[in-house]
Amino acid sequence: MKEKVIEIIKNLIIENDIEVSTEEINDSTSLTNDLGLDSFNLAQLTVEIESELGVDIFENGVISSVGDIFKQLK
Amino acid sequence: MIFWIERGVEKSYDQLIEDLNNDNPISDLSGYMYFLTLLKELSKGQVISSIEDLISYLITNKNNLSFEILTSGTTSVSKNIGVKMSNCIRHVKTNSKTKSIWGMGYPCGSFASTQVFFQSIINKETIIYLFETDFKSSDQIFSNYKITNLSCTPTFLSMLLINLKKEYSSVLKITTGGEKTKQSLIKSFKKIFTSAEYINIYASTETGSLLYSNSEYFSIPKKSESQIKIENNTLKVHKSLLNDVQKINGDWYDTNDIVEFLNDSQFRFVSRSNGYLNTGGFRISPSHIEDKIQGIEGVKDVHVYGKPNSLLGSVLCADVIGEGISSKSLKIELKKQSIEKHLIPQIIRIVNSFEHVLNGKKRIMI
Repeated sequence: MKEKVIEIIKNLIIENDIEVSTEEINDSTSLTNDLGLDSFNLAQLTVEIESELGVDIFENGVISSVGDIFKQLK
Repeated sequence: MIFWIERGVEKSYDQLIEDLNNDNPISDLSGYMYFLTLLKELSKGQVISSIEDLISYLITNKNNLSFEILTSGTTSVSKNIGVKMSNCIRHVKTNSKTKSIWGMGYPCGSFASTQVFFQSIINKETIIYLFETDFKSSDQIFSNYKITNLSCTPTFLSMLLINLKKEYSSVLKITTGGEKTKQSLIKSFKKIFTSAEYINIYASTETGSLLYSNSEYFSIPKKSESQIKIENNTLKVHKSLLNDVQKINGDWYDTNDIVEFLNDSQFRFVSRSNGYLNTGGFRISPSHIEDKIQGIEGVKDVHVYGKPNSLLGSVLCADVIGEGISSKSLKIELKKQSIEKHLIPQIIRIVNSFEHVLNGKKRIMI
């Protein structure tokens, strides 16, 4: 499941042409500060993850890091 | 006294009055210049020698003054909407014993931004223009300026909460508007803004602020029952509250905003039926975006629609039929055309066909 989330994040970064390294994405990686995602990118991420894994990650509050996503998917 | 702070640059009230009397004031602060131009138009031909003069002039002449908002800031189709000053400052409060410091998270040119602007200036308070600020500097801004009142869209608030790492008890009031809010967001903000109360505003460019609540649910106050009503689950507003009464036939203006009732009096907004999507506080015309995508080489047909989203209200999606195209190539092409980011669909699917209904493409309106 974690691998799938990271794959979705990497694809999103490539698709949106965001200039950031995706080599080391882990639990503590900040979605905005480290990966440079804005609100539109985060909305896309929400839709992509919900489509693949069936969970709306922002449904219960705020998500800041990759680890926060994993928590929502547990 | 500080009037405006934008990208770390401070403008005092004295500077504002000086620029107001200068024929060609120059600044690279887009927000400051927007409101300076607005004040210049409103006070044209007047001698304004102090901020007190300006405030007095605006209040005394509120029934005669009006200005135009070019709604390209928040919609995909540019249009001018006339706004009465009296409507804009209808809810301005002037009896506070303490001075507020406003964090403005609306784009300049939106109706909400003008309301925050006049609330602040009439009380000689300070505005920190947050909208064009990099979210990465959010902690620095909130630490430095001790913002007391935060006014923004729910999406902007979500982004702040994602980026802020510390608690800020200086924020006493958070006001959101411009799009639907969610109960989960209202529950979340207390972790960061520990002392803040929350106010949810329903407003529109055509009417100004109409309803207030501290949750996602609203009710119509007794005193407004003769001017605001719900008919067939749609909110309608009496023409006396409109900025431009020529726009309607009859006495009632249909907002096209559809509501869902919790009980006999409480309701929440669920969608719009006027052909627009609301994504992150931006009102967007799907057909306008379809035209832009349709013009890209390789695209044969396109269907733009909204999908409910917990962060943006609705997320912009496009199903595209074509050859030699990908979601990435379409996004790059739209960026090349200098299309604003909020008008570029976040989800683009390359499909072989659309689902159709009898009268044409299936359109999912959110």
